Amino acid sequence: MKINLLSSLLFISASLFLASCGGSKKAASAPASTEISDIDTKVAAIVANSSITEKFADLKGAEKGKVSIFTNETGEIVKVSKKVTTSTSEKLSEFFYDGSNLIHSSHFERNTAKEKGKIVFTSTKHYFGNSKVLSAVQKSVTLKPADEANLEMKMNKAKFKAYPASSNLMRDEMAIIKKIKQLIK
Amino acid sequence: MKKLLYFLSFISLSLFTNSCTDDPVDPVVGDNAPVLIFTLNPGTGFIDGDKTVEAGSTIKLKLDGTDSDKDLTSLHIESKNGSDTATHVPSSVILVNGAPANGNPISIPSADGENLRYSIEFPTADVADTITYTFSLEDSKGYTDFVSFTIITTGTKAFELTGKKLSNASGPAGMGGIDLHTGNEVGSSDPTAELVDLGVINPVSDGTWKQQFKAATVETIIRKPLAGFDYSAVFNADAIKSAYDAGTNISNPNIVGNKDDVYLIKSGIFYWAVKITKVVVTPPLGMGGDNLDYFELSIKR
Repeated sequence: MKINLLSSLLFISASLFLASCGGSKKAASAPASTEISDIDTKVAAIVANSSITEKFADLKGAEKGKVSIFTNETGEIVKVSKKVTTSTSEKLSEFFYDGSNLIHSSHFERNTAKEKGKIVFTSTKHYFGNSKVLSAVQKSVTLKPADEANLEMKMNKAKFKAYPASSNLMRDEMAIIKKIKQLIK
Repeated sequence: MKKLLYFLSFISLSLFTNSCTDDPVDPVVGDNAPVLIFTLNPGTGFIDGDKTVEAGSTIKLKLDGTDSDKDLTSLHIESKNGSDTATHVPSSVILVNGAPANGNPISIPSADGENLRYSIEFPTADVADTITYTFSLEDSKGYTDFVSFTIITTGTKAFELTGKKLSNASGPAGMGGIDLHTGNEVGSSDPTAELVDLGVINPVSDGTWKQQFKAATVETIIRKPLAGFDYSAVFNADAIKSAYDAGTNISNPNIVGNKDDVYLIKSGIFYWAVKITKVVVTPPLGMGGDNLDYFELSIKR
């Protein structure tokens, strides 16, 4: 009886563990490293392009911040961004395009509410191909306010780790982009 | 034993609550709802918002739809004129990715159930109007997302007559002229003719068709369009009038017609764009011919 009860509990534990991730979240299948490096190269080129033009609008209402659309010299949208500031956090989300396709999104957050007396910096990157999530990685650094000057060094030291992206990720990113597009005419 | 059970229960609960990290992106839509968005950088000729166009022109747009449940089922295309009730655009005029729509609502195949990119085109109103179009993407649970935009049309759609004839005026009676209003062949002295053919070189000595025509009366004026005028791209009556106004007069009233020549013609309050689509030459009368030579015309008004 005891053994049966223990077995049942262990089985339930294992099932709950698997079900809690497997149902709504799934890890992106491992992409070819060339796909990721190709995307990194394209994103780097966009970031380095000095001819890019920014069109922006301030957020009004509940969210405070700014949304922007960046176009290259041929008028093509290459980046869409959203910066939101609250009393305890700042978050910059950037979405990169190659032609008509979303290829990459990055989210950088500075948060003073997650850990008392400390600042948590979180960097998240998503890679997309054929409207699917190729890879989702994330890294975090926690610093005392006095150490914030060391952020770059600490961030560079920290390694990105794959994390199980939500199955809604692609759709949610598209929804943000849609909102930004609606705000900037 | 009780302690062991409590311990195992605690472990179960801990694993359940801590096994996944929070989503890094704030969710902005319900868990099951689809998202529909204008494709970014859709390419030349695609609209992604409100637009003013000539009546009768075709509008093209590209849409991206995504749904994590992979159960997108239909796309509705509705039009609304002022306070009228929204109605579905007839599926017969809609192209999806270049092919006729399978209906409206468009039924989405399961292969597109998670992500779709549809290029859609359909004609705008035939007359000046303001119409709001709404595209609604729906999944099997009835969740929807939509995009909408307003199209203002100007002018009036041009209508076209094709395969009309202006025949050799030296041919049988009742030929040699054309009524541009109807496209009907008429006699070269018929009062309804706007254009008349000039017949053969010499009915007695040379039965060769001149392949020339002219305005039937002084009320009809024929002009050449400016370089770059594209007959096939004209679908609005106002555009024909504008092209006529910008066109150049023809000094010789007797015009030699050749295939693909385009003329802009005014008679009274009416304006036409006329294209010679074919020149059919038959042997002269008396040499096995019949004087049934003709220009084949396409006419837009």
